[in-house]
Amino acid sequence: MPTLIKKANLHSDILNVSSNQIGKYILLPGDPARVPFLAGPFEGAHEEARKWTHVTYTGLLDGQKVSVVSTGMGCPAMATTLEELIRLGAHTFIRVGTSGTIQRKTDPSDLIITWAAARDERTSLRYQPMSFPAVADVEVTTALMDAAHDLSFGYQVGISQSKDAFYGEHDPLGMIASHALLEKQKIFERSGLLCSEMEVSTLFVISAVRSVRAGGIMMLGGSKPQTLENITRVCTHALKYLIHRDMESQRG
Amino acid sequence: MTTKNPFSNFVYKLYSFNLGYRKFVCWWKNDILKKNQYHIGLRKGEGSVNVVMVETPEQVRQIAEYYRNFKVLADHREYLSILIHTSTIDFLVISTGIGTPPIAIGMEELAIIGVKRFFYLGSCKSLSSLLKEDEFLIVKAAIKEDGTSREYLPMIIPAVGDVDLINKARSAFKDMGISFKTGISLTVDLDPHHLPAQIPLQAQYEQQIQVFKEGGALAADRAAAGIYAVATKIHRLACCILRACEAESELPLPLIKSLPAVLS
Repeated sequence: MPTLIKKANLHSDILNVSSNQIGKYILLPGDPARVPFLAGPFEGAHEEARKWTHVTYTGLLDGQKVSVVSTGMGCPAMATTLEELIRLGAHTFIRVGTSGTIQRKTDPSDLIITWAAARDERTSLRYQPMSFPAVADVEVTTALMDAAHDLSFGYQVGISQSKDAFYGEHDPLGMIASHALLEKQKIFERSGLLCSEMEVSTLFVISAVRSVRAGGIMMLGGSKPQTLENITRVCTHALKYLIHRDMESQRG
Repeated sequence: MTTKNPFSNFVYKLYSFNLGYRKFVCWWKNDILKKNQYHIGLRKGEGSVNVVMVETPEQVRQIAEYYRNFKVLADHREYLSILIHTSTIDFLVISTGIGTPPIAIGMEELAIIGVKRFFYLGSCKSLSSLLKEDEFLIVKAAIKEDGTSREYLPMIIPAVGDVDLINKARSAFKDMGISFKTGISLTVDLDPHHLPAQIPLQAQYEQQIQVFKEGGALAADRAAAGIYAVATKIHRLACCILRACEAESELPLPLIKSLPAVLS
């Protein structure tokens, strides 16, 4: 368990929220419109703050305060939000998002648990050289896997690609360096990367540098609305498992 | 990956056609599967699905002395291989020598003869006060500062181990009361215990160590990134367990006893 920050009244101007308004366990979607849906299962979920793309909802889960904070798209936005939340005292983060497929035979209703990420971006280079691995925390990933398994949802665990350009993946032939992009995508498919998104590697590298725990779970583009409900249930169960396991390890 | 433009889809399908694993490329030389492999001296059908890789042949003999039901398979170059039978599981034990190049060669050839799960028992130097002397480190991912991993994977793709094997090793160690940590290891191509004090680029090495320590690296070793990079390329599962001690030292008895639990 990482050490907690004891001061209670720090305020973040970027998120317009104070440290006593958020919990220690945080879900991080990208879209502000998805925040109320993810906070639905929490007891007493209510909006704490709203500024630009950062919407914060807080509620209770098994007696512990948990929050959902939307980050916006891209690694720079994720880095800003994450640094602010770490400064305010949070220690466990789960990125909940959508992604595109890379492998040919992926079932679109599967959930992808990102155990590590390919750092195809430049934000995390400011924290660690490119040889440093962007890898999730073992406990958070195990909680997500156990939750998906206990709820009998189809899931895969693997490495995702964190890119900086959405249209570089969706329309590579329209880019100037299209040949290089197509080659890169071929390399990613051959090395077995599962999905393509835009924030996870920065989350993992910054959480390694700041000694907090992070994990990620993705839906695939082209999935049905049922998948959003599934991923909400998996995240809620994973947070419950983490809360209980943390309480047990603190006691014993 | 598909786009809305059907021409783009067609071009991408043509571009991403690839021939697959090397035994199909060399189909006219299919005795690659019937002959002994060039370096390790084993052939398809020998060995088992699980392999435990260690550093020296002395460590292989140490494991063989504990599990007395064993059979020596081959002894070429650095690779002394024996097959061990226990009541729960059979596994292959092979020595690989020091450094990532012979480990990569061994893993490629073992994959051809049918091994699916790779475990490595090695040594490292602790970089943090969290990892004490003679404690174990289960490597969840490795920093790729060595050469072999860059040949296998581009720099942006991480060298990570398999979650299920790591969790199995953690629970086996917890049940046996062995103290361990789980974390990131820095893989370099020199002996982290002795060489850094004697090389010309010592200042650069020390500076890099400081950067990686801030990222949370717990140890410096010579194997983990190569193992995980090769495992990603050959599509097999791997797990690396390092002990914070000098290289080529004796394996402790609790570790040898825990091998069936870690492998099952």
